[in-house]
Amino acid sequence: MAGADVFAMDPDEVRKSVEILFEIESEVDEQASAIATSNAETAGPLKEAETALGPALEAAGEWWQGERAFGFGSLLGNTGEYLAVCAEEAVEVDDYNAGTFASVAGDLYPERANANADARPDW
Amino acid sequence: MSELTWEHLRDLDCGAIRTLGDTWKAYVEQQLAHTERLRTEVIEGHLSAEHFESDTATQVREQIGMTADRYEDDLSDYASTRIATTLFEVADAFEKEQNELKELVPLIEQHDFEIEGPRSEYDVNLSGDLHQAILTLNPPQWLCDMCGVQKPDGFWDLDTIKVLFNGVDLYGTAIGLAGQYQDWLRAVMSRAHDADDEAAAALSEMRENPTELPPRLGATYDDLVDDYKEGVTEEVAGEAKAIAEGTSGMSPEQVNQWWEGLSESERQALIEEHPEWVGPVDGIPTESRDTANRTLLDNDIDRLGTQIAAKEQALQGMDPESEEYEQAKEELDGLKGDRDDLANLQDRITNDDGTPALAEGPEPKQPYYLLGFGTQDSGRAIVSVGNPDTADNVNTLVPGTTSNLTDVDGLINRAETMQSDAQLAAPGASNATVMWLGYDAPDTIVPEAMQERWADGASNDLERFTKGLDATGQPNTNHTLTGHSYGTTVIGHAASQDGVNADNIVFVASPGVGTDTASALGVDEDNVWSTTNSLDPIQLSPDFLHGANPAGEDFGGNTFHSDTGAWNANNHSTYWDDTNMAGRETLADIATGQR
Amino acid sequence: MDNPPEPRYTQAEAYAPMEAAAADAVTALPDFPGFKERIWTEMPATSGGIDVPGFTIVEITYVFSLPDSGTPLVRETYVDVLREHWSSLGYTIFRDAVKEKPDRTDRSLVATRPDGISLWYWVSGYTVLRVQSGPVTASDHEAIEHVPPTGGVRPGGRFDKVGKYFPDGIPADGAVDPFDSPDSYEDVL
Repeated sequence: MAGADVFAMDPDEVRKSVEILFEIESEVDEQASAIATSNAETAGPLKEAETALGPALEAAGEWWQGERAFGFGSLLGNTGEYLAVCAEEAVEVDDYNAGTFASVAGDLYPERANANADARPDW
Repeated sequence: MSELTWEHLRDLDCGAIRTLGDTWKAYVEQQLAHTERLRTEVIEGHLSAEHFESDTATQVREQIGMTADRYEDDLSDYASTRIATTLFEVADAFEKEQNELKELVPLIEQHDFEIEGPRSEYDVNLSGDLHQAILTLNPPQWLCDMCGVQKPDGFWDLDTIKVLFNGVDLYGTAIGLAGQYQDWLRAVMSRAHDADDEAAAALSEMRENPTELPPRLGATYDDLVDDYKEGVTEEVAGEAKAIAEGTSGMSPEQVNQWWEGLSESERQALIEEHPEWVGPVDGIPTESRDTANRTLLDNDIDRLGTQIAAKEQALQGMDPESEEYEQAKEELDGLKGDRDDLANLQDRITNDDGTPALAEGPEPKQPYYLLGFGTQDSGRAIVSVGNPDTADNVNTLVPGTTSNLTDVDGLINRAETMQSDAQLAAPGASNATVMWLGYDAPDTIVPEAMQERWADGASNDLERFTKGLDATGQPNTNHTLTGHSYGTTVIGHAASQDGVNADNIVFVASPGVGTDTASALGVDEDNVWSTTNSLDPIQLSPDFLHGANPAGEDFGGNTFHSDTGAWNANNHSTYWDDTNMAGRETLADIATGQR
Repeated sequence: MDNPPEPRYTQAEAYAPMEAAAADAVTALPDFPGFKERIWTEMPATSGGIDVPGFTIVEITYVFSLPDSGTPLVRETYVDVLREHWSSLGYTIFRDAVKEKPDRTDRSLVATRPDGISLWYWVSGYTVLRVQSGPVTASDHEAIEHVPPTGGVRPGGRFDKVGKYFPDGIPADGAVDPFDSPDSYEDVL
């Protein structure tokens, strides 16, 4: 990414953004889990009834949770982590990887422990 | 593949399926609150340029916006259109068939019949007790009633027993009734399996080629995001192509939701740049299909013109006595025939200045809408007189044997007559009539019209067409499906195997509809109508070809009178002629909900 | 496939006697309020379920306006008048039916002439007089001449629905001065 000519940041405001992103990520995960559970509960009897719908519905719920909702939440988490690093030390997108977040998160985001960083692909 | 048994279907909790659909809908709303929050509290709030300004900041805001856009599209395309709508549609379909079972199974049990056989091909047979009762000339009261005889009052009632022994076909009557219940049960299960498989396909296909998610921030982001943005611009085209090619698994209702979810400019771009993905697709509104199909028709006529010119040029260099010449000449004639047929269709529905023509009928004049066409086999044409999306009454005519594109003028004339009669019968309503030659009709009465394969080949397409009309039309539209001759067989097969969206079904001059009972058609029996005039030889069709004559006494439903009046002994096609006003009046009344 | 018996008319020839039949019916109707529109249509002539190439059936429809369609004069009196009139001309009354509906009574009177032309007075939502040709040999549209409408419909006007036969407009020599055809027959009948 090209260097920025203009740079102005209010770190507190950026941190508030980070909190919202993490909050939504967490809610999305939780709610996706709930809908997948509801889905599986309805899919169960349909599978027992040997419908084609039952397995397809269960798979659809799992796919939604694991791929789409998780993907969305994960993107928000990734962006939040990047902004968290930004708020501490102005970086640029190209220089960022998840390990950077782990090194600066410190006490600010204890729930997003370093262990998490390994699970976040740096691609 | 659906392996649902009738017992499973009977016991399914359709309410739970529908509730899950509601849950998904509520979930979508809940998730949309998240994207709304991202926009207002993050992009335009804490992370606005006022608090964070740099190229990177701009890029991050774009990334969050892009992520929100993606999620909203996912929620619309997958969670809502695919999952929730599938659940609603399949719950309705299962419940409808469940209600049929609730009516049918007690009847089977009351008559001492038994359901046997594999789940896909249930048999309804006489129970051992019923066999015994008949063999001992002690038939149950219902069988005596059906046969019009008195039930013997014990073994000493010799007179009655003698009557039973000599002249009454107790077995035949019982087996006939069991056969009707069997047809009914098989139709119920066929439609249930069809709905089940279609629902499963809609959900499975969803997972096959999902759209990419935006890339994560980090190294190589710039490259990846460009690829992503390019993918987004091609996303609608990819979806449209899959839908048109039938690989999306989406129902017409889902297609309609998808279409309505596009922006006006996306819709316009598809109509202009890819009319082939719009014109033939059930679930896309009529106006858009018509515009696309007219473009396709222009293009096809031009393309055929070019091919004809090239072929004519090639012929000039060939030896007229050669086999090669003969073959090329035959191909040329075929091309010319196709071009003439399409030009004829175009002339009929288009003014000289290129604008869509209006049919010459009673006020208000109705435009023609082209909903499909093709030159394959004997040709296809789906033309509506009046807009079915806005009409109060929509009557779809399925023509029969020998119907083809070459004679499309006559078929449209017939549809125009039906629309005109309906408009005169119901001036306060808007009435549209569709001529649906959306299948390869048999070319000959013997042997082709004696075969079921033409009807089976049309079944799924007719199902989708009627469901498309339902998706694009008004909520309370009165839909009638009228078949003539082999067209009734097509309707019967579609209705009993796949299910059709129709409030009324009308069989005109039917050779049989693939089932022996109106109950198997999935439409209220009171709204099934048949007519065959007294001199129509079609009534001589043997039952083993396409099932019982729906105008016969045992079929169920209603019959209405049609007058004869042909110039020859064959009155098979006089139903819309000037000799059958009685029939035309009744057809108009049925199509306008006045019967 | 059988062809129809040799028709008495070609399509092009059929319009004049059919229109004359309609005009004759109009002369029999007292206090005639005028028709709102005229429509020329065709239906396929068929044999054994197959459309017979080269043949067609012409149908001419005269429609009363909706208010006029609802009057007892048009819905009841005219049925009686036409029944008597057509019978007196020796036509066969082919259909004479009454159908009760929740909000109206429909009637249908059909007479056939020896030359194969049928007349159908149908009292429904609208009330219409229809004249039908029976199977006739189809003509090129260029061969069909404009026959001025009867019953107060303006020739070549918006409600003279014959446009598909005359894409370039009603031929001047075939059209009657529209002002000769009154909008209403109230004062002249």
